[in-house]
Amino acid sequence: MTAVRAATFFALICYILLIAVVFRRARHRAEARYFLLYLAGMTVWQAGQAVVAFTANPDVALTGYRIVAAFAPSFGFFYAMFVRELVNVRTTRALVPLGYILVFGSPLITFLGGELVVASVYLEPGFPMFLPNLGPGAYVLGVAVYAFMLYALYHLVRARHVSTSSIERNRLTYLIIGVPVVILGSAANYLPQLRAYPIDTIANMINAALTAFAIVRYRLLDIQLVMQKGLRYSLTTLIVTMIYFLLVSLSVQVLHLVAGYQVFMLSLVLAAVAAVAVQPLRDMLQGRVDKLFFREKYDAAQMLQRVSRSSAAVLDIEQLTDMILTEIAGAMRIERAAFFLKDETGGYLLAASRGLMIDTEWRLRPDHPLVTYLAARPQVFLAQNLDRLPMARAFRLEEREQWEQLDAELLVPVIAKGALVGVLAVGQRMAGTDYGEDDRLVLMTLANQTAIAVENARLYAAAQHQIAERQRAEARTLDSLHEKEVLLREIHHRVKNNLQVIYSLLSLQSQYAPDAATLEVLRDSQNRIRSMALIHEKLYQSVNLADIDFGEYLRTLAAQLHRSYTTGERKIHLVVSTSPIRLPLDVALPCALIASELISNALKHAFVGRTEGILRIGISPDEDGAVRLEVADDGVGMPLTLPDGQWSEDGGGTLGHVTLGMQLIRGLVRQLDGDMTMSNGRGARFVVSFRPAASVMADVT
Amino acid sequence: MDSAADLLRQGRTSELWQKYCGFVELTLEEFMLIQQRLLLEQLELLNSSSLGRRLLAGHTPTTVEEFRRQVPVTTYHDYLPELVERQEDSLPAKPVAWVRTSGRTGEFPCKWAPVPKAFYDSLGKYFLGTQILSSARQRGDVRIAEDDVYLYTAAPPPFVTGTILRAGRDEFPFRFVPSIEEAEGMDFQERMEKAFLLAMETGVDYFLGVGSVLVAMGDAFSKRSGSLSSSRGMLKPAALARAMRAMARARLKREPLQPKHFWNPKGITVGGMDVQIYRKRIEALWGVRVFEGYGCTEFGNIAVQSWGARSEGMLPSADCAFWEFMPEIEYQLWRADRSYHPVTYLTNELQPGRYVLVGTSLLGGVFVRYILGDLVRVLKTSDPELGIHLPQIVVESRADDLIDLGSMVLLTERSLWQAFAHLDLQTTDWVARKEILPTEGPVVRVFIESDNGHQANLANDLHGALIETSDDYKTAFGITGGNPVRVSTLAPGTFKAYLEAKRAEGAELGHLKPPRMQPSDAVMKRLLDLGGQRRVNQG
Repeated sequence: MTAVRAATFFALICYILLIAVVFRRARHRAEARYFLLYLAGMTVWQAGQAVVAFTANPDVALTGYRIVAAFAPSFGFFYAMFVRELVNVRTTRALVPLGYILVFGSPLITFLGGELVVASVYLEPGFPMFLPNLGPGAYVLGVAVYAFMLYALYHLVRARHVSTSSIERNRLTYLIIGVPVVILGSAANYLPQLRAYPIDTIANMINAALTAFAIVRYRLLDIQLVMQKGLRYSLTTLIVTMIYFLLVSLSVQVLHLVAGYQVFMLSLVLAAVAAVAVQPLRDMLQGRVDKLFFREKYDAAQMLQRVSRSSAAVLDIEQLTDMILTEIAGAMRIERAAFFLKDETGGYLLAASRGLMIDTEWRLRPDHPLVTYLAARPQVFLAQNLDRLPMARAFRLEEREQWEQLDAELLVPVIAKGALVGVLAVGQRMAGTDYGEDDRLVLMTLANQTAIAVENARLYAAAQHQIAERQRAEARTLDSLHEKEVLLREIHHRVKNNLQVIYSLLSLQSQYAPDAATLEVLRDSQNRIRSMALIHEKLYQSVNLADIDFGEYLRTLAAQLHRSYTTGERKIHLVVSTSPIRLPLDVALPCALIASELISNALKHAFVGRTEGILRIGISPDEDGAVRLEVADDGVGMPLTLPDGQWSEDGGGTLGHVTLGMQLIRGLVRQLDGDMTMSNGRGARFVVSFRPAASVMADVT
Repeated sequence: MDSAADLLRQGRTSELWQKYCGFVELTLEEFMLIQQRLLLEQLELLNSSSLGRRLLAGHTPTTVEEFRRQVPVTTYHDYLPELVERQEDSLPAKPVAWVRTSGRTGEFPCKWAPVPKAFYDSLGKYFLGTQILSSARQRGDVRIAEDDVYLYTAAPPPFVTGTILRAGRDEFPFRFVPSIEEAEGMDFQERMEKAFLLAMETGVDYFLGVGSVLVAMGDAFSKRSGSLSSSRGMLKPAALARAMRAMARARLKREPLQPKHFWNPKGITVGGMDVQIYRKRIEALWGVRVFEGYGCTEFGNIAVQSWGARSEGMLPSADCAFWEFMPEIEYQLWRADRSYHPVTYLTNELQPGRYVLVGTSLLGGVFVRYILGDLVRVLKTSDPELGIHLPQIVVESRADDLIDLGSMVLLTERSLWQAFAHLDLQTTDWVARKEILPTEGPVVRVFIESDNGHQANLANDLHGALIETSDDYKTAFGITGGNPVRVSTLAPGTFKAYLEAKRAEGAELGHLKPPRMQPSDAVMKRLLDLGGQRRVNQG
């Protein structure tokens, strides 16, 4: 009696809970609304059962049975309506008004019809609760309920038969199992031996629970898999139990044979030892069963472990995505898979793939309908649902082709820090089976576990890309610099060549000079040009094209001028003393012209009337950082009346005559922002000092 | 992917709804995203074709704004000779079919438009969506079934209606009566007779047609109450049973025999400018709520109502064309100066008002900023009560067919239909023309053939009805008291005689009837010659 009451009460609570769950999760669907009505009918029916189970009063029990009878048609009818809606039956419309007449009529007939449906109740010896005396109306109502349930079963079987979707067939199988359970459960009431047990209550509960599961969980576990797994686990448990009992009874028998008596406590100890011994065996067997029968699940679990272990350590994005795809393809036996990763433009670039023949770079645009969908709803997306999304209309033609080429079954969003960083697309399984809830869970878990690793690797790849980009930019700059150097060298070379041409032209011109004065002018000009050409020559020969070793230059210049002005009769000794001083072009050029003028002057005028002399030329840095250029001879001296050491840039002294050369020197010294002193003693001595840095800053105008 | 029939067999009706009718539930942002994405792709496709490059003037815009700013609006003349000569090599995508209009006399034989594969598929999806919506009583209600009988009075291929039917048949196994192939070889009259004879046997689940035809058919039933045709087709048991049943129903309800006594269709889809006028009458005759659709040769489906014709206006399609709406005044400016670059509004920029529709083909079509020439009214930009986020439109008139009454009011075909409906006038047919009278200036002259015969005060009545039904008209003439309406009656049978004369000449379907608004001098002369005229209200 207690068991009956408990089952009845439990069923009532379950119905109320089912109503709550279905109402909360699925009331917006038409079929779910009928199912809610079915559940409501079942709840009232179950309440009637509860009244009967708990009461000792025959009048109350009679009312309870009448409630049961009155609401039986409603649950049958609404279940049939639920199935009609579920599988979209549009025929047999006459059933609908007939059903409603029955639903509303049966309470009236039951309660107002006297003994027509439930006549009375009675107690049977050995039976824990009141039993009904049924009237003829009860059988009519019973037939109606069976008819509705068979109608529902027929349409469920028919829909399953025509369905091309294995998922849909799976869902319908749940419901198809539920209906016979109800029919058989209620049939138990007609057998006196079973009437005492709440079989109909349990059967109805099973059906209600199965149907609710089918509605709320749209994609269900593969029911065949559930049954197979259940059987296999039971088998293993049975084997282990048998081994255990064999061990225990064998030990007891052996002890009995050896000792000649049985000790109860010893048997208990043996049982405990056997239990401990069997435990590892059970674990081992269980492991084997898992591996043998649930290979995919086992592999998936192993794969998840491996991926989570190794993904964090992999920073190379290609390696990581490749590893993930390899693992998935292996564990889930998938032929095609692809991994798209967010790039810097916000699109999703194909980073790795398996089994895809792709020639070109494949990229999902940032506004790709799938990307926006997955970003908004980060759940596994079934590819077959794509076509029914209104936003699928936003697919570009090329994207449709790509989608067909990808032939994905599932799309798994990879979310890191709340943002979609990648999309994992997996194709059909090699076995051709559908992905179940477990598979999707595995893929989602994998995506979640690897998301951070993927994001890190992506950022690392982005950083690497940036570094490589920077290195490439540097290389490009260096190349460019090199090109410019070559160009500048070439320019200096050409300037020098051009100056050389001018020099040669003046040389030709000098052959036609009408007099010595003209010849001298031309020669002076030639020397100036040569000194400038020499600067450019030194520059293009220099390492950095920016400055030259002026000491070396001075030596070359002095030697060239010496060759130019000395003859066999006159021996002038050159004494050149230089330090390695590097001067930039804008300083070197005026300085070179000054040196050229001073040396030329000395060679032309200092040794007039003499057969030999000494010309000292030097350049050296001062202690205070200035450069000091000195040209001194032991010749006849300068023809001017200035005190020694005094010479100013405005020619404060009075030159006997101011030559072009001297004008030039003064201008160039001013350009260098330098000073020049001259002294006349035993010959002339010119010292020009300037600061290269300051001169660079000086306004050359 | 499961087909529509698969989904239906599996009872996955919510998915079926989402797939085919989900477009009416799009948000404005989603709608614009679809429009923008497909437009930008379309521009690339256009750039890959010689005709497209010509239309884009060698420069492919990369944004919608650039597109609106740079690309000029076009008319069919801009597509000559490629489209008329059906030069497939010059198009952005190879067509799977060509559709045509009935053409315009004196310009070119007819307008041809290519139908690329993706566009064809889209037509099929919209067709099925339209049928589901037409028969839905509420959101998500799917009532279609395999082998549902589909009766139609629309023209077969190569007219666009026929091509849409064919695309729809590829999408879902409706049973078309008569079959589309069979209908191709029949003229309108034959097709109708055959269709209704077959429907007497098979019943009718869905219907597609023009409002006036549905009314005419209904009236024809009423007129021959109790004396059904005794053709051979009617002698078939199923047809006979249906006829008997219909007569019994009519008798029981004490009503004249009407289509609703014969058939109980799930949905009736009606197109044309006169839908609003005939809506109630069709519903009374056929016993089903009328569902309005709007389409054209160039862009296929333009707009449909929401489920069960609940929305007041129609919702534009998202992927048949990129829609721009040109304010009426901009259209006038453009007409005056074809080099003028008119301002247009996108769907998400609309405000209630009247606009000329401008479309750009998507999915590999060819038309670019094409002025369709239809004047539509945007009724509202959304309908929160129904959960609709898109603008709702109704068709007013052909933009070229407006009758401008001294710049005070623009009369459309729709406004005149509304006035007739307000008067509850049993008109068989009418045409309207603008006339300039020396003393009174512009007036609208309505030539009417009325079953009720002579109505002396018809001009005043029509004027009164226009004041009642048109705010613009009321503003312009209600206060001043002037009456710009003039009515001339034509002898009964004039329009029928015109139709028969044109048919005898072998005229195209589109030329069988005279244009309702602003018929040419030649058409008017023909009408007057056939029927004579009698001025009711001299002016």
